[in-house]
Amino acid sequence: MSKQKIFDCDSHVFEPTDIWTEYLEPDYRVVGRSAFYYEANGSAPAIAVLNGRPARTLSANGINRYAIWQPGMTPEQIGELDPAAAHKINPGARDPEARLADMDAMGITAALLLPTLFSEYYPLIENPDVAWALARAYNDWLYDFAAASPERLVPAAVLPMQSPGLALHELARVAAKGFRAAVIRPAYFNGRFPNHRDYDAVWADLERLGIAACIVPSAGATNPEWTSTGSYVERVAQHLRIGHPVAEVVAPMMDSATLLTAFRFFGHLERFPRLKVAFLHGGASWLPLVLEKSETYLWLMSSTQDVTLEPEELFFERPALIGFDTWESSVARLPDIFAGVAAWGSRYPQHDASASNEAEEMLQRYSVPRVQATKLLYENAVNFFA
Amino acid sequence: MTGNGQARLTKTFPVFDCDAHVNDPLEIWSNYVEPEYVEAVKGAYWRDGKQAILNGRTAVLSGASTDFPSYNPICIAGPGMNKKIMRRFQQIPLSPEQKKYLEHQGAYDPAARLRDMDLMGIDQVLVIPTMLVANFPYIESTEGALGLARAYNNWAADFCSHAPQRLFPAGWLPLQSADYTVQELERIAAKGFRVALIRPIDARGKYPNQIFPSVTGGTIRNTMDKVYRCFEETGIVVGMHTFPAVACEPSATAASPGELISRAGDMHVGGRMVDPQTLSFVFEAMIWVAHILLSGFLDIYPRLRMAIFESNSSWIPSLLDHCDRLFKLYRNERRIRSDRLPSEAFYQQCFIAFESDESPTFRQWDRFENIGIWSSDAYHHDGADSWSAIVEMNDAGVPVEVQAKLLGGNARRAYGIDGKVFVTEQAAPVERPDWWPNAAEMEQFVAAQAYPRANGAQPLDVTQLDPRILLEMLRTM
Repeated sequence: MSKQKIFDCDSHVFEPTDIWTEYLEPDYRVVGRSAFYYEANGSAPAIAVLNGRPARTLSANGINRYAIWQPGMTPEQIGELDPAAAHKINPGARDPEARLADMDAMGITAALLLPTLFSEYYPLIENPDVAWALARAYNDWLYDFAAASPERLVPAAVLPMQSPGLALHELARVAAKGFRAAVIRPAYFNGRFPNHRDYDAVWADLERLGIAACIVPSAGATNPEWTSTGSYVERVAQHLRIGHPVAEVVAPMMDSATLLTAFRFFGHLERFPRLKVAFLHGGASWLPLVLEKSETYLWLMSSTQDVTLEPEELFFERPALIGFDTWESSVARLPDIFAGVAAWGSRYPQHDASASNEAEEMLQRYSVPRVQATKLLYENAVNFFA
Repeated sequence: MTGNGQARLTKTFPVFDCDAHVNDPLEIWSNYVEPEYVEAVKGAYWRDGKQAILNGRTAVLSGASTDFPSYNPICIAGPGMNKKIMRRFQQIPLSPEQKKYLEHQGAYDPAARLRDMDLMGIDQVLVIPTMLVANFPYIESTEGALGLARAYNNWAADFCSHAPQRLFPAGWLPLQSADYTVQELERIAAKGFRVALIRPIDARGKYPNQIFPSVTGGTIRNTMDKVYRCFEETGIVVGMHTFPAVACEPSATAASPGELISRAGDMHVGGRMVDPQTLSFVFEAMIWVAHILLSGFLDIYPRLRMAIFESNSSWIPSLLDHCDRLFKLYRNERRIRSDRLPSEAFYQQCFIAFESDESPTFRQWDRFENIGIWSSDAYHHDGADSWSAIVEMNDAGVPVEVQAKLLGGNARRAYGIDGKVFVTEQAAPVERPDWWPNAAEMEQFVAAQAYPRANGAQPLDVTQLDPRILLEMLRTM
């Protein structure tokens, strides 16, 4: 399988300060840095500002776990790093040439580029106008990043969901620039989850424009209560004095699963039948369970009278994608469920990333036929993102 | 033959149902609360024939049939029932007689319970309360919590004494006080209880992982540490039992992660719900399992045995594999050093309940062979019998000897219970009254309901409806 083409649908940037200093429009630079700013260069403690106040940083020590992994690194090697020492982040997290070199080393043909900071913090920005300005800055920076190799780097835009109207403006702008994907975090934006009726126009425009809606959760470990699951997880876990965050292992799946369930109860899959929806960075093995639970409780809740009660059929018949992680052997073992809809992601450059050969080995271990492996590693994503 | 002309299923091994429910009956309060605790329990969580009151001030769901406009969903699933028939019954006005027929008396009557177990292919069962799981964690009074836990446990012991080889009680604990919990654990251990239940939520800011002293957590020695050590010493299995998120009283922070599911709906403005029952069970369990595995909790209590109830199971393989990876990645940041991988700890000390329709679990049965424990969840509305599990397992190619472990052997090993077969053959279909929908009616109903838009239904924005319609509907049901 060494010549297998690979599409990486879970690949992240770690946003540089250039977004604020060079890409944010001059009129917004002061207010933008006050609304949201993050600086991490690996040699000094990170700086995080949110809504004019200090915010929790993603790293509590010298290891930036959101940008530490490089091709060839094993979990054991990362585990041996000294947290008290400052460790440089992977240049490929910010520099496209370094990124392409890493992709070559990882055997990756093309990659979807997802945010890190603009996922974890961005939904919490309160001022919608500044959120839009920061979205423009991020999207323009990412566009230039991807321009280094447009056939290999696929940018996914962020949208200022703080205001559905402004999200529509930004959607139109990035569509004109040629973006084929937009990221929406399954989190509460000013108290509204993305299934809220106020966002119907955004979903309708995504459908009309043929732009893939990428549902991308974040761990949410730095976020306040009631915005996503991560804050709850960290709050209760702290009693055990673990020494490191734990939300990353469960919160992304929970937030994504909640949105898929909310989509079902609100009838999104029927109302936007051509909408391309990708659930990324939250794992895939939960999908059958969550669809089955929706089905059970929709049948049992007779007050819901206008949505399909057989969500599995609906989900698999529509343009949908779900990203899976290297360790998710369930994807290999349940090919009739996943072979047509799942797509592998590396999680680059986060600490739990892996190269494609590890995923290929996992699929081989469970005797996944070459045709199905090619779908899971390449074709499903390529067909989805066109 | 069964109703659809197929041969009746048979089995040769004993089935142990590790998670089936009673509907906490009024007699717990009227007959089992000891006199010295009555006043405290009245101020904690009290039920009478009309209502249930939490902390002396908040009316909460009690589980009584009068709480629900249609049938009682706590007592509805049983022999021959399924979600499609239940939906049918939600859409027709039910007479008091019909509601009574649909309520399985086995939810509080042991003789009726045994009859239903025979029909459902269940030889032995662990019985678990219902609304206590929802409401009890929010009780503020430690004395009231102790009095009610004692009352429930005494009632459950009496309920199970009708058939001690088939009915096994799970104890409920007054976690409001670690000392009272230890006292009650020791008391129920002496009475022969094999399991005691804990709900993994943060009610009253007391998530049940608080084993270390904290500056705001009370006395230094009065932590959950003594509770888990008592579990180890008594040999009682910790039963982590989850529930749908129901915020009994207002709180600035979430008690259950399921509350975030509810907020995705807009019922608060008269709109559509996103039912927290869908995933609240799963989320409560996932968070508990993930952080105890990553913390080294099971290394602190190496003799502890834990069963994860009512949370489905197919998520476990992926979670364990991800935890193993993070365990290696955080080697130098973990404060409790251990070389035992999270998956190893789980397989050595834990069990996880699965339900009859979990096909992904059956297809990966090698990951569950020694830790999977079957549950019917009867009589709750998503419950099912063991025969349907056997059908699914046969379809998935699960060897019969593994089926025997998954459907009973593992649970009995966990609890130290001898297996005994009481049921060997699937029963004939239950004879139903005239008003029961026949097969043709159900086929038509299901086709119309499953795809409402294909059948002409229009999207409905319930926030725009006159709210009096809802009132009228509730008044007439």
